[in-house]
Amino acid sequence: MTQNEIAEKMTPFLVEEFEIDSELINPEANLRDTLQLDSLDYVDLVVVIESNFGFKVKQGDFQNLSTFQDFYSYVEKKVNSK
Amino acid sequence: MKDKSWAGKSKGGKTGYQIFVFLLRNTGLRSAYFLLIFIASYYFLTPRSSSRFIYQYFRKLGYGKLKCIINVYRNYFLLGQCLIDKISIMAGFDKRFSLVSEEEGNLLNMLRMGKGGVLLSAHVGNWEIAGHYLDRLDTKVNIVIYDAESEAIKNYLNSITGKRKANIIKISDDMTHVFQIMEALNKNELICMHADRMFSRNQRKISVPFLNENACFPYNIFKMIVIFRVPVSFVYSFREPDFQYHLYATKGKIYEDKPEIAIDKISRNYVSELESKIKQYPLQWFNYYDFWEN
Repeated sequence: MTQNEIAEKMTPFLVEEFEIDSELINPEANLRDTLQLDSLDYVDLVVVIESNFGFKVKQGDFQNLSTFQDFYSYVEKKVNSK
Repeated sequence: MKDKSWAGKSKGGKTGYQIFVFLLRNTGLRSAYFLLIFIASYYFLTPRSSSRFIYQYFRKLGYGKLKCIINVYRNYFLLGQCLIDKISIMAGFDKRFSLVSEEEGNLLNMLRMGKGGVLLSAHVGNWEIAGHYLDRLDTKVNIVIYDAESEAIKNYLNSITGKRKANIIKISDDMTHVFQIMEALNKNELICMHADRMFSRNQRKISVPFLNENACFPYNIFKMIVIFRVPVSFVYSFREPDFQYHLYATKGKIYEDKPEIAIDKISRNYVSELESKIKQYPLQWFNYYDFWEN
């Protein structure tokens, strides 16, 4: 799975769940600030990742993820290493 | 919507707690309550926004102005009693307290579903007492909190009461709490949370009528319950006469509708239950800020 495919799959979910404009989602944008994530929003992200991409998110995985690019790279790596 | 974030800290410094612990240990509960008369009077007589918000709350319950004023004092006193009782029970200073409940079976039945469960409560009554007694359910209880309390106070109280029987999950900036919650539910454990406050400006809110006026509640707590598809029970513990606390727990229910419908249902049921309980125990409402949108 490529990062573009991951972005195409994730963007509609993020737009709907976090009620943001799709134009705000770009690779360099900060994930947390753009989505205005609070502490419990991560539950959503974990569940959607696990159900759509089929791998278990581990504690600490999100620690170094700042941008959407980081996020797509992370998912790509996990999916392609299964 | 108006931000009603709460700072997360409660009143009273470490010295205050030390004085009450000294009294509990050496002269007993009644002397602590006696001192509380003066503490509550101080809070009542000095101008503070908390009094104004509690007064507004009693007005929403339909009380006359004089009754509201008197109840502001009684509310402060009861808050102090709940704090004193908590220390007394958890440290074993006074063995006269008991927790009674006709609905504890609802929690046992919820656990039999095998999916763990979420217990939603609010800053009313004395939920920490409930958490203390819930170890008799023979499953681990995890309390999710936003922890801005002073470390000095916490460490001091822990030294008096001993380690809490319940496990504490702190909401933090990283995702640790998410995994702890998920792991607990997978192990058929209970998660206890309050759903009557937001703790950050970013928190998404859901507006629900409460005491005839819209109030905001944390949307993501209800959403989390729906996403995990676990049973939820609304649990409260209120102070009653004769050293008794009364535990209430609704039947555990899994909300299986479409997410937005389920979230709306849970939030409305939660608020409806909260309203019902607070009308039964009106003095044990402990949210000292502007709770409603207006």
